[in-house]
Amino acid sequence: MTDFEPENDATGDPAAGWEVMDHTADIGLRVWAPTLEGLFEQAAEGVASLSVDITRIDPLVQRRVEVEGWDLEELLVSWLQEFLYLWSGSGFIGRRFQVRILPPSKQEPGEQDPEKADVEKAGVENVWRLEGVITGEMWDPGRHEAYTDIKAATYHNLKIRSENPAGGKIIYRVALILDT
Amino acid sequence: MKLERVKDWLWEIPKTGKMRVPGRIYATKPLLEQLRSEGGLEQVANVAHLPGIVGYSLAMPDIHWGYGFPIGGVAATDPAAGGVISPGGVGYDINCGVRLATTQLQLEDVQPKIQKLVASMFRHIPCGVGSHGAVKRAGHQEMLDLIKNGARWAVKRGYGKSDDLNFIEDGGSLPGADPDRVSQRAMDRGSEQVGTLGSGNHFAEIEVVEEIYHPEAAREFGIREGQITLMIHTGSRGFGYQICDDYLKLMGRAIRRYNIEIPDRQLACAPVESEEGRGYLAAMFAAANYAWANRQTIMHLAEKAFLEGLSCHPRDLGLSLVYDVCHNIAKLENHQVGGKTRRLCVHRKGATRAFWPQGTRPGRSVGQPIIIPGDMGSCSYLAVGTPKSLEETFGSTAHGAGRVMSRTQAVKTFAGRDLAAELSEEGITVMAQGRRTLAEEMRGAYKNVADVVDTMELAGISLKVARLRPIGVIKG
Repeated sequence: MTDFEPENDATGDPAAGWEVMDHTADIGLRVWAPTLEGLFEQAAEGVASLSVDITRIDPLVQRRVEVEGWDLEELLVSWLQEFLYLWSGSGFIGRRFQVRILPPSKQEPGEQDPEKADVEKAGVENVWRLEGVITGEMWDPGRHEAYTDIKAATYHNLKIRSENPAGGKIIYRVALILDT
Repeated sequence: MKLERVKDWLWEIPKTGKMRVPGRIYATKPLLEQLRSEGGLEQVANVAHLPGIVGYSLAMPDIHWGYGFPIGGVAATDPAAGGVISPGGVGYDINCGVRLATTQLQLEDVQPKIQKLVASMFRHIPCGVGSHGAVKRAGHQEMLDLIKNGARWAVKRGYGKSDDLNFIEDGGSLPGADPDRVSQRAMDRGSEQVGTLGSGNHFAEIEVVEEIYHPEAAREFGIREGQITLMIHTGSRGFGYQICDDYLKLMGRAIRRYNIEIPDRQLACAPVESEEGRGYLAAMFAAANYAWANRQTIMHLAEKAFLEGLSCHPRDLGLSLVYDVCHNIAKLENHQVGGKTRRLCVHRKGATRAFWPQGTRPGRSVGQPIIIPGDMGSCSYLAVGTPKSLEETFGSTAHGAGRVMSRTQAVKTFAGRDLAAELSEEGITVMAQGRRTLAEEMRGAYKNVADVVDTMELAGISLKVARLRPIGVIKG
């Protein structure tokens, strides 16, 4: 993976954010951002914020991750699962997220059409790729407080949508159900 | 959603659109009213779209909105008729389940030392985020052995006795578990977490038998009033989550390969008789065996906690397993459909097997023991399967109380209250790793488990044997 400069951090920008949706059994997360990358970063921040008090996590260590997905939804789930794996598998908890999304060679972001995709011919060049940097530190039960134990990000009714209101800026949205 | 009354406790969603079978929900009117406002009923209808589904898409009275399948959902598919298997019909926590053990102790033996006992349990049984095994990390060879042998692996290591295996669903080990179908990442996650409780609604609980409803079954199960029991609720931890995740990704591709139309991507599936289907079954069975090894190990840790906390001898404690059930699983079972025996793939997503009379100790004259935990403030039930469960629900019944309040709502509702102190006043000593867990799992966040159990009794699917009241709880 090549080094890259993070995009402007979407955190604090009212055009980007996340909020919790009510769901009886599990937790719902509604996320929005002006870029796809921002959407993925916000989603990870949302999941992290539900897992622990991230204000007490110091950005001391960087972990680089690479995931791929057959479409953007699979890419998003894979990215969040990578965060959850680092968290519950190794005790590394991230609070800052930087993402670069690489579309399949013959597609531009937002032009995916999984229905037409031929799975049998799925090759390396046909998948969406994500290169990410997660910054945080190792879990310390003495200093950090855990919130909800999130097992997974699900595919339940998962669809990344983009809105382009007349004269306005494009905005990406997704609603996620997290298994707890 | 259109609903037709079949009986006072049974409702039908008629077959419409691309549903292959109707949906059926076991619920009394008050329970049904609680359901109407959310998405659980729609999910029952969605499950009815699965290829090869037989009879009905079923829901137990503890049904609530999940993802893909509703929680409390039961669906049987016929592999010989293109029937599918869906990882979403099992869930991330594969073979999440409950075990109940009796002791020789009475309430008065334990009550005065309950705080010491709960503290001892909390020390011996790792729980909460980041907890690792109290037992040695399982190396690669150990993991291979564990995957193949489940609870038998734990017994071989000295965790419990070989007689325990007679009181576990499927003897605590499903044949056909294949480590070659399990990713390295799942193996890594699993090796760290054997003998850990986890978080969320998982718990280990000290209870007292408060009331007996079915004396004959109670006698057979060794249950009597005033007796102290131990209940453990946990599953396959990160090992199961990873397997579910790996195979959901694979199945998401398989639905295109096999031209399967489903209304929700979380229902992604593949024919049982396909490369993907067989792969998932073998990996899922590995996680089921892991969960049994985990619960068997935790019971051993709990026994140590009892001996230390009460300073007593194993003989005086007399810990004896009543039964261990799974409530997130899919299994190949023989069932009678239209007078013929068919081998079906039965998904139970938040539902418990309720067989009659198979699956029980040889010589037992009553059905299979069923364990239905409630929320930590009220009570749990021991029940028993009936022949009717085999006729109507592919041998399945409810698995718990079923949530009515979201976790965030519960945290808001109980904010600012000292829940541990409130429970302590009611005679329940609680220790939890996370402060939020208590609020999320508080009474009021769940349906009344008594209503759930009574509905299944009304329907004749399972019968109550005993009510158990918690006096000590540890949680993640």
